[in-house]
Amino acid sequence: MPIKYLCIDDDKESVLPLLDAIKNGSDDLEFECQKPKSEIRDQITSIKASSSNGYIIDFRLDKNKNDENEIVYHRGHTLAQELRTRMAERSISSSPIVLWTVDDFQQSSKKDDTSRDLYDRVYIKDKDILNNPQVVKNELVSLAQGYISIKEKKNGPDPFFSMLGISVGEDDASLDPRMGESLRTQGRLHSCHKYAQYILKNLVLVAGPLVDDRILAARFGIDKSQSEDWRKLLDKISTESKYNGVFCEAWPRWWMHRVENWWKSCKPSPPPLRRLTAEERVDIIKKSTKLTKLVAAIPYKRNYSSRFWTICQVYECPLDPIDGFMAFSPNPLPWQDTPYLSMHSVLEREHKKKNFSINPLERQRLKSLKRI
Amino acid sequence: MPASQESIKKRISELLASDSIDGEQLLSLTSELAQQDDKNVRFTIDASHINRLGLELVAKQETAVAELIKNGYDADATVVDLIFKNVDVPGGSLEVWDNGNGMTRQELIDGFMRISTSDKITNPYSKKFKRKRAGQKGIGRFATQRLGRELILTTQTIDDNFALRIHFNWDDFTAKRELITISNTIEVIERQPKHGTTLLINNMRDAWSDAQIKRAFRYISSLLNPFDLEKVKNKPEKDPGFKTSFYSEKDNDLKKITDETEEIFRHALGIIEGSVDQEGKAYWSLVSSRYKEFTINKELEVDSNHSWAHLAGTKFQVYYFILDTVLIPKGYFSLVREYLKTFGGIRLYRNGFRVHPYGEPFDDWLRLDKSSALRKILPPHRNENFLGFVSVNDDQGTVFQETSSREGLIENKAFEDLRAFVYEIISRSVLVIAAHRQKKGSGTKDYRPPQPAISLFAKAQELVSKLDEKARPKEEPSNATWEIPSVDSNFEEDLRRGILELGQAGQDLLEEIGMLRVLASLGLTIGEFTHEIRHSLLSLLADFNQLSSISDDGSPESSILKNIDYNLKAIQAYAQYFDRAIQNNAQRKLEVLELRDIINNFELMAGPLLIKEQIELIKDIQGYDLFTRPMHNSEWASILLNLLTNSVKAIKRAQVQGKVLLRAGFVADNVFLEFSDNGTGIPPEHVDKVFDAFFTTSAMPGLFATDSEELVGTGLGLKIVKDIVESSQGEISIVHPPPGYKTCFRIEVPKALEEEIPEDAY
Repeated sequence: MPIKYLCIDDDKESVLPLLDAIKNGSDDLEFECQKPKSEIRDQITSIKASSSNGYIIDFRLDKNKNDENEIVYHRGHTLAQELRTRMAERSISSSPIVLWTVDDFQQSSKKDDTSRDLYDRVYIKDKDILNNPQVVKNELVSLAQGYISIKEKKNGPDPFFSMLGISVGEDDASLDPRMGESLRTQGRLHSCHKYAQYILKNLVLVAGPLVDDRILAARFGIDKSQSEDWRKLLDKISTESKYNGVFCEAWPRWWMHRVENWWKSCKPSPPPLRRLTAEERVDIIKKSTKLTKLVAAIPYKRNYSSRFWTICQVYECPLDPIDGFMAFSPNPLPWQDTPYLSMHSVLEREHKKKNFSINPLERQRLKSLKRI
Repeated sequence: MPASQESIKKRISELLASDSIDGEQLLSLTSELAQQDDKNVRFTIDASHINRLGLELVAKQETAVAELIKNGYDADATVVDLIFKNVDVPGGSLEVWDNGNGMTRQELIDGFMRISTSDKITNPYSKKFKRKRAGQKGIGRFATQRLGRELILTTQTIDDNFALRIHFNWDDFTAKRELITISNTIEVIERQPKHGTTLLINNMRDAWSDAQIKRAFRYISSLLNPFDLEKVKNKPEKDPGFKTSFYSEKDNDLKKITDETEEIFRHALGIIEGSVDQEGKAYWSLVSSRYKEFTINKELEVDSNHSWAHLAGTKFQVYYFILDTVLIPKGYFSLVREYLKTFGGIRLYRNGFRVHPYGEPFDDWLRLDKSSALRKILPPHRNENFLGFVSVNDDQGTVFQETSSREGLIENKAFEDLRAFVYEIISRSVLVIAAHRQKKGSGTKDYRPPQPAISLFAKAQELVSKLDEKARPKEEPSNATWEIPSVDSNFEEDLRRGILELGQAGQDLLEEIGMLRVLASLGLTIGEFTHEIRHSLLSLLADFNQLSSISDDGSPESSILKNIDYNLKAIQAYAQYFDRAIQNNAQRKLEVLELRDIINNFELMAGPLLIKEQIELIKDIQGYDLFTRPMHNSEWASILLNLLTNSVKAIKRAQVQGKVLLRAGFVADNVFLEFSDNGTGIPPEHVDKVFDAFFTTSAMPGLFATDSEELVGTGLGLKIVKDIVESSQGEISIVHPPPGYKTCFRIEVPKALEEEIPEDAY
């Protein structure tokens, strides 16, 4: 059975090509597109009738008249909130909701971002959809499958960890016990949306216990674009450490604690990754795996250290935190990794282009650095 | 039971017979004896009276400090320094040092050691500079008791080759003791390096925070004339003035407490000065530090009703302020406002002495408040817009006579002329500043193009007042037949030319406004539609992407598809460019802006256009934290887009591989941004004109969507740029371009003050 998304957009005619671009002939995803109803009650009825696995909602539902030639007075957030409420009450099956917009949303969400919590993802129509329809497709499918899986596991034993595809104990005992603590107590009372939000926004999209291949490459000291054997290396470590919990289809991630276990198992037993330069790390990996086509990454600036541990959020290059500033993140959880901005990006204010600020604790250091 | 008279007498004679007489004991015995007088009774003073005088009469700490400084002033000091040492907890010390006349032993005994002396009544003026003595009640010295438990007074006269030092321990002055019986040791010590008196107050009663010290300093400053009277005085024994400095010392670290008055003067729009020389010729000058290169220095013509002859030697100096948040930075606004509210006004000094009540908050001797209320001239000119003084010289006391109540001067002809003289110069000056300000276009918070109202009005006003003067009957004001005297031909010519100029200026402005209106409505339309276009373009592109991915086989169709792709991308680039430009213009918040952010933002916005036009953008930014004073983000977007539009045209004309160079950095108190291109350049004969409204060399048909020649070549772009820059107290000019470039616009705007930069700017 293909995944079905219901798209509610007042500009139906012009978004159909976008949906086609996302679908791109594949048969695991299908769309139904509706113009909004002026009454929420009618809208809910029609949503129930569509029996969908997910929803795409346009931010402005009020710009064009609907099929009944009526003006709609509410916007996407209103509808999304109504859907979330009904899902919590189980009158509608729990499913992902994504927002798409041209860019009105960005303007209004600068002033108030509380409504962001309603959505699993936000897409900019003429950026994300137009440039990467395939990525969007994968994410939509993965989100819907993730919700289905959460629904199943929610009522089983140890729901949170089973959603993450791990069992506590053995090698996973080194995970921070605070991770998911609020969800692990009184598990059954939480909505699917709450699990999905937590896993997606606190674990999958943010580095911490789970890392993506950019950080992984940085920690191995490898320049993945130059290394033919990078895929092979990933395959080698994936059996043990690849994340296979919910949303893993669209967001490939690795459990860092398991990656470190793999590293420790290399022969002869190497010093901790962090102490070594990129060259040293790559040498050890090459010897241990017999993979030869791996190239050590070069620091962004010649005088930067190659003891990479993270990436610069602005340039996406590998970075030793010593050459960067902590970025400001509004509600960091204690077990998440701190995001970093390379010194160069901060001094040249490139970080401002991507709306980053430095962590207030770093201001003094930045000031003294500028004086040099 | 008191001792018998006999026994006291006996003890006194024993005391008198001894080699060294114990004064304290002698006084105490004689007063005891005197109290046993059967026929008379006498007042005695309890030693604790000192407490009354110090702790109770001088209630506030600031007043206590002020009393000590007044002593220095009365002693003809020119400098009084106060050093607060380790006063953050009680028990610190305060040293008050002046370079006054010092006191001889006799003066100490007759003056300092004598309570309620009549000295200040018999000698109302100081010895050397003939200052009117400020201390009046004769209790100043007990302020030291209010401040601390111990006082060490050291005094050095100019002539003596030794100094005197007295030690007071105020705790000795306890109740039930006779005041006169408490001894304070006096010693003769070696000559001090400088003459004057030092009061060292130890064991301070209270802790003084920096804020309290500052407050005391402000209080003292308010008592002193904030102006340097030296310039206006012209006497043989001239008083070089009196200056007080406060220092706070902690752990051997001496820190000067700053004078806020200077801080306040910095925000004046102009300094207005006037003077009358010995021949009775009057001069006025106006210096505006705000608007550079702006000084006026003129003779003030005599008018028929007033002559300046009585006013020989008169001088005045006035700082002019307009309380407007655009003119005074946020951090200082309330400080300046409060200061002006309290001290604003123009004070009058006669022979160097303040004449009350002129310049007090309630006084309107120059009729400035009245004139403002009647709107005689439009720019702000209430008393509280000014801070300054008028000084008249009248040694004989015959020109300006004091009223019998000693409050103010008799309103005679000379006084009336003085008023006219000051009012005339002030009103002219504020009109000049208003005209200048208008030219700079800094009206209100939000940017508003210059409006003609005030400067045109000012000019008309000037003409009309001239006409009034000429038309007024000269000799007999009561004459009922009111005929207009013949007007001389020169004047008539002036008038005609002036009016014609006004007409022309008005016409130009109307045209400019008309054109701006057309542009504004065009902008709104574009804004409305670009957004719509983006929606349609979006689905068009999505469809096209599908289509082009199907057939990419080198067939003729696929090359057509490539062409369509290129052009669709170009349309998308323009649409995004317009959309971002409009979004940028919609943000109307004043904030400090960093030039890197401005340039990065511009790069983002203009990126698609630059790619389309194959123009390379090069950045060269020196220094960090290039924050401007608060401006609108959209203003910079407008400036850079306007300059880019010109560059794109010039590069097309030059048919070269286009390059745009953006340089930025610091220069003195400004930040600068240079915008260079390698287009055709500006011919030297046009350099002076490019910022004029309607100046254009554009002959190209429309670069952007429209090809209406009329709109492309309005010649308003650079005019708008200049208006924006100047409204932020900045400057724009065409400078010599760097090697490889043909045109370079340089913009300088003031850099942000440290306190204006918000925490989250990093």
